[in-house]
Amino acid sequence: MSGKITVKRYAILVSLLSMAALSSCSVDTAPQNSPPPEPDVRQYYIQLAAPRMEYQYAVSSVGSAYHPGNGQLTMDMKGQEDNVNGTPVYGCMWSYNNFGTPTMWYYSLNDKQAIDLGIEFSGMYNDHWVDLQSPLSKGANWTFQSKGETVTANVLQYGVSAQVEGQSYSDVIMVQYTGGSGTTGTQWFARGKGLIFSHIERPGDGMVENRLMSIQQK
Amino acid sequence: MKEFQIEDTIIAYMDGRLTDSESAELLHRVSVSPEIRDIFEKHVTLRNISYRAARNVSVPPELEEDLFAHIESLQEAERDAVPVGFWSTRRLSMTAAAIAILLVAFIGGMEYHTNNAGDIKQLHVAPVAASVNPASANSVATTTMSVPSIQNIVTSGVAPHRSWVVRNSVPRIAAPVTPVAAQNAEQNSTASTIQLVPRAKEVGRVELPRTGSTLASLRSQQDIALNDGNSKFELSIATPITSGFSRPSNVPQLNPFATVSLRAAYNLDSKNQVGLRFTEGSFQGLQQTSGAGFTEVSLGSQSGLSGEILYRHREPVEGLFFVTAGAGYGIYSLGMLITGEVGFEVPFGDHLLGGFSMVLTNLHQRDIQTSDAAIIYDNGPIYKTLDGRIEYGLTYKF
Repeated sequence: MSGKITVKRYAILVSLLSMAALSSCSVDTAPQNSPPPEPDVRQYYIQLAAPRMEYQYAVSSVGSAYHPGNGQLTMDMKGQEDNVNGTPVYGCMWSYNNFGTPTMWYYSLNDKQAIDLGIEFSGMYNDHWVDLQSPLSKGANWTFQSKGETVTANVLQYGVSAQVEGQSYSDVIMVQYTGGSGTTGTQWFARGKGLIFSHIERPGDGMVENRLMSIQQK
Repeated sequence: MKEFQIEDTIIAYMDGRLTDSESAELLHRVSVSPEIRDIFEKHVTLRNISYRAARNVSVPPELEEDLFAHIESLQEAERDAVPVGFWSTRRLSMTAAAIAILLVAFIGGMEYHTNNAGDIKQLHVAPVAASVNPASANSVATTTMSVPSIQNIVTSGVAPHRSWVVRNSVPRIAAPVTPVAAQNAEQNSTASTIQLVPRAKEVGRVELPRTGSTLASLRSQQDIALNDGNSKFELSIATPITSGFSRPSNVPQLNPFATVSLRAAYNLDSKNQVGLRFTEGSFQGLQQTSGAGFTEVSLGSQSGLSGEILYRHREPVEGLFFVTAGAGYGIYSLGMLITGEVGFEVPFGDHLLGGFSMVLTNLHQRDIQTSDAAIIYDNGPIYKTLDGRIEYGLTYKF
């Protein structure tokens, strides 16, 4: 009889323990609520100020004269190269493994804005693409002129997770760009890493997509 | 030969099978023939002896021991049914009563078994002691219980052993045959007997004596647990009665009545069952949309189906209700799931039970399938979630 009692008590105990186990384990961690607005865009941008920092991207493009259809892009940080209106300008050497010759690209970067200036041509930078602008938060937006086109940027996601080329990133912001002349695309930036994904389509320039593969300090 | 013929006639007379004229002729022959009178008187004596024998059974010691062992096991089972810790007997009783009232109010009816439509008297009968001869199809047993206890049996129709049932029972006066019975006889002026017959299928519907008040059979659950052991199958339907919850906490939460589950089960015995459960309703799951060069994955509430294999245990508590516990494992539209549940069930008659259950379901979603090398998660890559709900349901046993 005592055996029967023990079995019943064990049955109830096991049931309760099962419930407790179910309620506590094997549940994915909750994503953090949207983090507070970030006043310094450098937290999410490529590490331009760190010389010999190398970013490697998988590249694919369609209809672009300046990018390979498929290949790898290495961006080698060269540090500060210039100063425009009190804002540092950094240089970055772009080299494709199967296309063209290495080319220096320039970026203007401070806490307020991260701007892709393009290449230097006749003493002028040929672009003014504002990748990021503070404060960064979900729903934030800004407008800029790029190659004669008015482009509006919107932060669609802020503080989310992403997976690019098999690697997972947390605290990611997703910015959508829409131009008056038909430019569209998104760029993803991860805190402490920089650009991890870019897909931009521009009239006349075609589509170019970059996916971060690695970051390495040389 | 002649003697056998007259004996047949005497037996037929005593059985009431003779016509008036035949009876008159027999009695005339009895009065005029000493031989026939002698045979007649022997039969009268023999019949009186058989009546007395029928009213008092000599109980073998081993049978009596077996009976008392069974009584002891029933009492232990009752004691054992008391949960430990937080759930005191009082608390359990109050909870069960509250649940029963709510269910009755909600369902709007109960399954009664009554001889007359009229007053209903709820009966709860504790197991009682009675000695019976299992070899006899219709046995008269002498009990060691007091007359009020016997009356209780008679009133309720509940036999002291599951394989026996009280039928047409009227307390009868009998000579005490055991010391305990003798003591009872002193206290109550008499011991009593009840007539027991093997249990029929419709045990709860036997004709009971009408003693002025109508009998009811909103019987104790313990009785039902014992009586309904031959209900091998059951079907149930359940739905959440309150808002559920989901973990992690920032995923969409479940709504009341968001799901409906159907369960079909086979009872291995009166307490254990295996079965299948099918659920239609809302699940938390990742859903994907295509972007330009990437896949966007968001977490939301989706409609889907699940199917589980389940095991469930029912434990009677205090003869009032069941505590249930179960576990299931299966698949749903987006992956696999594991379910655990605990709850109460209250019977309404032979075949119907109603109850509440706390159900926890752990959902493991399959990985997102996409050809894109870039995936962004709006709410994070949450593939494993936990859904909890309190649901109520009805079960039909057959």
